[in-house]
Amino acid sequence: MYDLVPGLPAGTEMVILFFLLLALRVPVAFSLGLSALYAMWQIGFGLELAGDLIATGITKFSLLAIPFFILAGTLMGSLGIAERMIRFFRVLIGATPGGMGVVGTVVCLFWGAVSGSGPASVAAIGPMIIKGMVEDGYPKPYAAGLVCTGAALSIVIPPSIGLVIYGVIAETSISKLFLAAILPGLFMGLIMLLTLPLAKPGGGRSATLEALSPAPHAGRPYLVQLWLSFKDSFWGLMTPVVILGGIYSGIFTPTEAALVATVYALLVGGLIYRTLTLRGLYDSLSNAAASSATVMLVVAYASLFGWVVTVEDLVGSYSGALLGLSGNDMTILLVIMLILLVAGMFMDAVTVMFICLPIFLPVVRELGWDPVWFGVLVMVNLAIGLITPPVGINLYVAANVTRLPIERVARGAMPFLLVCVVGLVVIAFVPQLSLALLGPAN
Amino acid sequence: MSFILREAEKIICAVLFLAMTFLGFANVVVRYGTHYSLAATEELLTNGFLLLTIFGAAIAARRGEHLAVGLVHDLLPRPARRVVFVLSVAASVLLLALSAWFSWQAMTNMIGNGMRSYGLQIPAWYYQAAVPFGFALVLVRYLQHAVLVWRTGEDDEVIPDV
Repeated sequence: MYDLVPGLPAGTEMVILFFLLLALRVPVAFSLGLSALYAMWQIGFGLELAGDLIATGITKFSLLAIPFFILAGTLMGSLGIAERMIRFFRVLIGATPGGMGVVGTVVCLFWGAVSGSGPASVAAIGPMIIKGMVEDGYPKPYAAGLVCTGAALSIVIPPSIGLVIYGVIAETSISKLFLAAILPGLFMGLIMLLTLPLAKPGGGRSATLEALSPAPHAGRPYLVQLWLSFKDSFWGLMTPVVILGGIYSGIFTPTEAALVATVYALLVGGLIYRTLTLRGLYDSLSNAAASSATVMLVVAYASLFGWVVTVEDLVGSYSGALLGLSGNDMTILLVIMLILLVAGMFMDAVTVMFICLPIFLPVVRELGWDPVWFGVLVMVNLAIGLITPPVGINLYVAANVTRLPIERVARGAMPFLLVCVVGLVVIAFVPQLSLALLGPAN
Repeated sequence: MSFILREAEKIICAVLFLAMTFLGFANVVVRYGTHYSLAATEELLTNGFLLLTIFGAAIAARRGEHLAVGLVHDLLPRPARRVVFVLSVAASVLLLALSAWFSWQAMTNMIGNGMRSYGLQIPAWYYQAAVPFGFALVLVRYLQHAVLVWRTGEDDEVIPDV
C-alpha cells in the first residue's frame, strides 16, 4: 500500500495532506474529504462507512437552521427590505454631521439580526451603505472597511450560522448561544463607532438630508419623513423581533425560528411590499441553496475528517499539549485565541471550527470554562478572521462590490481591526457580558 | 429541454427548498397548536436537506463558488499556476468520484440489509438513491467550470457563506 510519508501515523499524514491540498487551491471542503479518505485507506477501515458518514454529517435537525436562515436573509435582501431599513435610519440620524457612519453601523447590526452570514451581509447591504457614506464625505475605503466589519458581526449577532455549527460541535444549546451573543455583538458595534471621528477630521463635507439618495419623501417636515420611512420599513424592522423574540420566549427552537423567518419574508414580500416575483423567488431559492451547500459540504466532509481524528485519537495529544503549556488559565486562553485568529486569517469560519474545536473543547471542559461564553469568544475571533488578510472573505466581497483593490479595502478596515481586538479582550475578561441575558441559572 | 438540462439542479433545489419550507412551517404550527411533533416530517426535512446540499453543491460548483485558498497559487508564476490548476482539478474530481462511489455503496448496503427509516418506516435507500447521482452532477458542473476557467484564464471571485 502506498504511504505518503512512511512511519508517520495516518492521522498526522491526513493533517499534512489537508494543508498541502489547501495550498494547491483545492476547495476547502474537498481538501477535508480527500485527506480524510486517504487516512481511512491507510488505516485500513472506515472507507465502507464513508458514504454513510457524509449523509449523517448533514441530516441533523439542528443544522436545518442553516439553509433556512440563509434563505430568509437572501429573500430579505432581494425584496427591498434592506433599502427601506437604510432609508429609515438615514432619516432618523443621517442628517447629523457624519451621520451616515452611524447609520451604516446601526444597519449592519440590524442586518446581523436578520442574516447569519458575514459575506452575505456585505453583499446585501454593503453597496447601499457605502454609497450613502461616500455621499456624506467619508473616504470610500473607510466606508468599505466599516461595512466589512459591521457585516462580520452577522456571525456574532444571532441568528448566526457559525453559532449553529458551534452548538452542534460542542453539543451546547444553540438557543443559549444565540442569547449570549446578543450583548457582545451590540457591544462590538458600539465600539466600532469610536473610529468614526478618525475618518472625518473636522466634520468634513457632510450632506444635508435633501442631498441624500434615496429620499422619496424629501421636502416634507422631519417628523412626517420619519413616520413615513418608519411605516415603510416597519415589517423589516420587525424581523429581529420575530426571530429573537421567538427564541427568547422559548416558543421556537432556532431551526423553527429560521423556518418562521423564511415564511415571514415570503409573506412580507408577497402580500405587503408586493416585491416578490416568481423569477425573484426562483433565484433566491437556488442562490440560497448554493450558499447553504457550500457551507454544508464543508460540514459533510469535515465529519469524515472528524471520524479519523477520533479513531486515531489525535485530539488527546494536542489538547494535552495545550493544557501542559501553562498552569495559568489566562495564558492558555490567550494561546487559543491567537490560534483562532491566525487560523481565521487563512481559513473560513466553519473549517476553523471543525479543525480547532475538537482540540479546544476538552481544554474548555478541563478548565471549567462556560462553553456558551467560549462559543461567543470563538465567534468574535472568527468574525475578526473575516476582515483579516490574506483570506478575509468579507474584504473580497467588499472589494468586489466597490471595485476597489483589496489592499485598499484592507487598509480601510485597519482601524476597525484594532477596535475589534480591544472588543475581543473585553468580552474575554467580562464573561458577564455574554452570560447576563441567560438569567441567574447560569 | 436544454433549459431543463442546464438548470436541472436549480429546478430541483428550488422545488425541494420551497416544499421543505412549507412542510417545516406546517410542522411548527402543528407542534405549537397541539404539542404534537411529527417524526415523519423531521425525517423528510433532514433527508430533503441532504439532497438540497448535494444539488446545491452542483449549482455552486458550476459558478466556482466552493471556497478555496488562493494564497500560494497567487504567488506563483503563470506557467506554474497552470500546473497547480490541473492538480487541483484532478484532486477535486477524484474526491467527487469517490464520494459518488461510496454513496452508491452506502445505498446498496441499505438495500442489502433492508434498513428502514425511523419515521415513515420506508426503505432507507429511497433517500440515499439520489445522492450518488447528485455527486456525479457536482463533478460534471465542476469540470464545466474548470474548462471555462482554463479557456478564458479568468477566475471569478469566490463568495462563501460564513
